[in-house]
Amino acid sequence: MVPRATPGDPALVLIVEDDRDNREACAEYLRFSGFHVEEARDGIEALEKGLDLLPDLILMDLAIPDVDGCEVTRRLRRNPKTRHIPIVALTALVMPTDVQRALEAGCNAFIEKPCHPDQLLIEIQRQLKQREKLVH
Amino acid sequence: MDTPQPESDPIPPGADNLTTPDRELRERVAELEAERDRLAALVADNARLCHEAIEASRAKDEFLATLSHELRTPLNAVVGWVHMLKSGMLSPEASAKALESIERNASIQAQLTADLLDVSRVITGKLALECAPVDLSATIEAALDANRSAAAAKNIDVSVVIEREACPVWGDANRLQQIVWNLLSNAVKFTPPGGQIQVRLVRIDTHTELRVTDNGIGIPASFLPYVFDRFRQADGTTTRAHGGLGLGLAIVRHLTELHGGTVWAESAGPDQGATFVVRLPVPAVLTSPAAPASEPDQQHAAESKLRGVRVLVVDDDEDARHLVDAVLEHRGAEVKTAASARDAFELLPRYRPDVLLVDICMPVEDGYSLIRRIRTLPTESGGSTPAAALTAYSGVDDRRQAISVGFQMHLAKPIEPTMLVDLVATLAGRPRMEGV
Repeated sequence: MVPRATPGDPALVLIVEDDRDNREACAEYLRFSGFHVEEARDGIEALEKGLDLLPDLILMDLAIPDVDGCEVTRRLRRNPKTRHIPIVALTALVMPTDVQRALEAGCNAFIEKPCHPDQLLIEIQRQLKQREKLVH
Repeated sequence: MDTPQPESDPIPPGADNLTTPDRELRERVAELEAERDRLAALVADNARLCHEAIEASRAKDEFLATLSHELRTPLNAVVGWVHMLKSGMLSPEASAKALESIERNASIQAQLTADLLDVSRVITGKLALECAPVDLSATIEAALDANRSAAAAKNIDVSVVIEREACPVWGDANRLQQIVWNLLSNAVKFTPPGGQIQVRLVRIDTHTELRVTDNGIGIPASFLPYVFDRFRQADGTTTRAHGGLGLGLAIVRHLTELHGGTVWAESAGPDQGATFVVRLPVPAVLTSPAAPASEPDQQHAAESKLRGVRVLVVDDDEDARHLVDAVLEHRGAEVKTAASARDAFELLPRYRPDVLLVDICMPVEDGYSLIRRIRTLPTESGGSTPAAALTAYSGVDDRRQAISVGFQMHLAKPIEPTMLVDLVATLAGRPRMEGV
């Protein structure tokens, strides 16, 4: 079992996911692991919440309605307010071109579905630590 | 690019005045022109074929990427919830939600797998129907039941109008239900919350017509011709709002065509809703007034279901003749057999059967040829005798060919006795027995 996030200092994770069951499972797990969680169901909501909430990390599904995950990532990277936020692609699109597209758009890491929750947690904590090092 | 035409024909008109070299030159020019046209046509053909191959390959790549996505997405939810359930971290309420989610996603995957297998069977020609008389109202009810909770979740109103006389058809009950289920779930999927779906079953001349109408997102005119193509979806982009593989309607089309029917879609355009229409042929014998049932006792009725029905069986295979003979005589039919098309043709006007069962693949003269000759006979010589083709070939084309040359029905071998009895009863215009 991966250790829980430091109590008292919960990071905010924005889950961008259009599939209800996937979104709820992910949110449940991250809350249990000690994170604050917000959810977005499509590209527009992702852009709005990304800018409004300035989350510590974004989990980004790529195939989402309205604006796809790569384009959301590009736009967040262009905005000085959001360009620093670590974005982890979490997607069932796993062709080599999808990985390339996601990384070129500005995702920091790429995790393919299905993924084990612990694997997801390790990647989130790794990204948060890296971010912390950069800030200090 | 067009070559500029010379001001005048380089070869003067009036072939009679030409010298031999001029005539040869003129012939040679004509030959070269023909050759040029042939090559140009070849080049155009080649380009078209190349374009088609690239398109097909692109569609398959796209399909495989979609398939991967559609299988991984539900699996991810299952993997996540199972891990949480196992580690005991979920509250009782969350556990209940987890189990529901796992069940839902497992059934999504089961449906995808079933659709894939069906499409694979369609492509390899291995999808066969098990036909019997079917009451379509029961089929529609079952398909409605299976879609009710999905429709209720979106607050979609489903209304149903069924004409009694449109209900009896000849077909495979499970596959007919699959057709209706697919059309309904498609309508639910593409209709926004609070929308409406209407199901209508009506009889039009010799056809039964099922119409499923919704007021959902509609279909762009440019996509209407492709709506039943497998691997095709109106929105195949990564920003699509609706999942799925794009196989359901392809399956609907194949199953409908296997039943000898047609299917098409109508839509005034995006956000104008859509109507899907399935039209199935109703064999004439299903629509003629049924003979009065003479036996009130059900068991007795079953045993004598074919009492007095005269059947002529034509098959070159002796075992096959005996099997059919035994099954039908057991149900009270009077059976005569013929081992060749020629024998059958001679026997027909003398025996005057109520029903004709003809094997297709026979030496010297096959079943298609036999029925064509029989259909040229006057009615009083048996020219209109209801007939079924019995054949090991069960593809759509075989069925169509059988119907087109003059058979009323087509039954694939190996023959299942109850289906054979039902078929003969149907052809003879006997009523269907309840519970038989």
